[in-house]
Amino acid sequence: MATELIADPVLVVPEGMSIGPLDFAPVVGVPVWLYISFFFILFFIAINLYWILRIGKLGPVKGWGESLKKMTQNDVQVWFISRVQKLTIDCMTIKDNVLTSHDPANIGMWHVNSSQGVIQVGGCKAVVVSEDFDQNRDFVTEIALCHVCDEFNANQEQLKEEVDKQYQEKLADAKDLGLSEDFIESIKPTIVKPIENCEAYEMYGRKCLQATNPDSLHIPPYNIYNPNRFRKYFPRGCSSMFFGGELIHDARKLNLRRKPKGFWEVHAFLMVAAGISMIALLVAWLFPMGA
Amino acid sequence: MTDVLFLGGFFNTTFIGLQLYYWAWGIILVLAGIVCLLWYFIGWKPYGPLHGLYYAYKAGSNVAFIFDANLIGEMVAEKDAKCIFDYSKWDYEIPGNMGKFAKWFFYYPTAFFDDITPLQGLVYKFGKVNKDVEIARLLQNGEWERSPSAVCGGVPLDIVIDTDNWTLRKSPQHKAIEIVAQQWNDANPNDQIHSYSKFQKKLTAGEIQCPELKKIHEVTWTRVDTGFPMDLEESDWAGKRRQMAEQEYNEDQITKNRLAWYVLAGGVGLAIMVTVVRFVSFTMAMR
Repeated sequence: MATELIADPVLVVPEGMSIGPLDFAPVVGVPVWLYISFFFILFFIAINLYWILRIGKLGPVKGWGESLKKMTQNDVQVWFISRVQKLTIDCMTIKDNVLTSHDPANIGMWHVNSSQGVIQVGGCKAVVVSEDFDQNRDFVTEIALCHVCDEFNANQEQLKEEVDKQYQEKLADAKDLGLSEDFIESIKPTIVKPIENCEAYEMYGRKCLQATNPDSLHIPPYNIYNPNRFRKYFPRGCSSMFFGGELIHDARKLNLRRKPKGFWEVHAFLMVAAGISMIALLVAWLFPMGA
Repeated sequence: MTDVLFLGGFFNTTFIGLQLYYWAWGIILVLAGIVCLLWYFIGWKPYGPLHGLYYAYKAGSNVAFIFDANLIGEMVAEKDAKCIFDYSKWDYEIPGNMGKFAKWFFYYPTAFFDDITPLQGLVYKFGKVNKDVEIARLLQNGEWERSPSAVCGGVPLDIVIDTDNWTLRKSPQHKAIEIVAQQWNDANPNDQIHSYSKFQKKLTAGEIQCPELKKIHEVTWTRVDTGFPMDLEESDWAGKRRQMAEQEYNEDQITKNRLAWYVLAGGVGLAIMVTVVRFVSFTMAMR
């Protein structure tokens, strides 16, 4: 049997190419540089995923940037707290101090009454509104009112004594000076009763608080806003939706001069157009071109 | 060495003395750098005042909006709004005998919590998970004020009004609070102060003194009355009514604009119909 000589396969490297140590292929002919390239690609994908996930976490507040982009001259940024306490950021139209949605089907409206309640985040001014109150929110005011009312309610006995004492002193002075009955009537003490809700605040609470805090209300410098605590003094029935609906009614009343459109006013134009079309069709049918 | 070059040796082509795969790696690295910069400057940096949401999400804590008296605010993680101390700066006795390297791997919350495994500790350490709120709660025996006003992306949101810059880490007020709270904690280890709200309570009750701080913030009646008006001025209501009247007027304009489109569409439709009818009649005439 003749010996067959088989030469080792020779790797021919074409001109312009070269091989290096990373062309070593330990497994199924796949060179080492390809494994390394795979890790580089994975690294690239991982970096992108990392940023996508990281930025994705800011998704709920993306409205902050997006509303700035789509904002026009008549718009303002609005931080909206829904009835289920979900916070969203959008922009709304503001005119005559009234905030309305761009979507005409949304009848929620808010009156921007408190300019000091306007917040500023990242240099951008915004109004905070919630579904259950038809005006913009001012957390500092809410905290102040709540704090002072609570304090007022807690010290009723002491307050009564103080008020009575002051009254007796003033009364004695007035009698000594022989002042008129009208004056004596005017110095009668303000009612001192606990301020339990918004109605009580409106009825007598505001007066009582001003009597005890004539210049301003005092709050601690650091406060965590507590919505549940504040509800006690929150005005009832001030839904922004109700406000919107009510105002549509008001607007209609104001627009009485504008007569409602009748049937012909609404449909005549289309009916005339349809009539002309029918005539044109009949003419074309009965008198065809070249017939 | 393989006897056949991968992909016919395309990546073995040399360019300025280097095979193409080296260049490909370089391109990937450069692209990764560019992508990082783009993500950072376009997607991340513009939302600077709201980054707290991300850090709160990572720490598993609440998020807080800190506002000053003028309601200029920033969204921060709960620890920045409520914790007095930065526990990462405390000196800890590092367990084991790992020398200098131990500092790199030591996750300081493990000094307070036994339930963090070494692997979890490593993951949290390099994932930068902050546990300061849990630490502060633990040291205050569970006493912690939370009253979320809203939910933002599934994370409860507290609103904090800080009228005296207590929460600014570099402010003199914060430094004074840190010193006074530390003194109190040394003297009362069973009733420690680690949150601003507890500090506030003690300050109001007169249990601690801190002359550097304001004791009160004044809210004028004008502000209260605009926030809670008992009677809106007639001109304001008139403004609202005008707005509604204008909206109704605009609605009419929208209807008219729509009508114009209908007329145009009708015209085109009519033209098509006339053409078809003429074509049919012409065909019939040809028969």
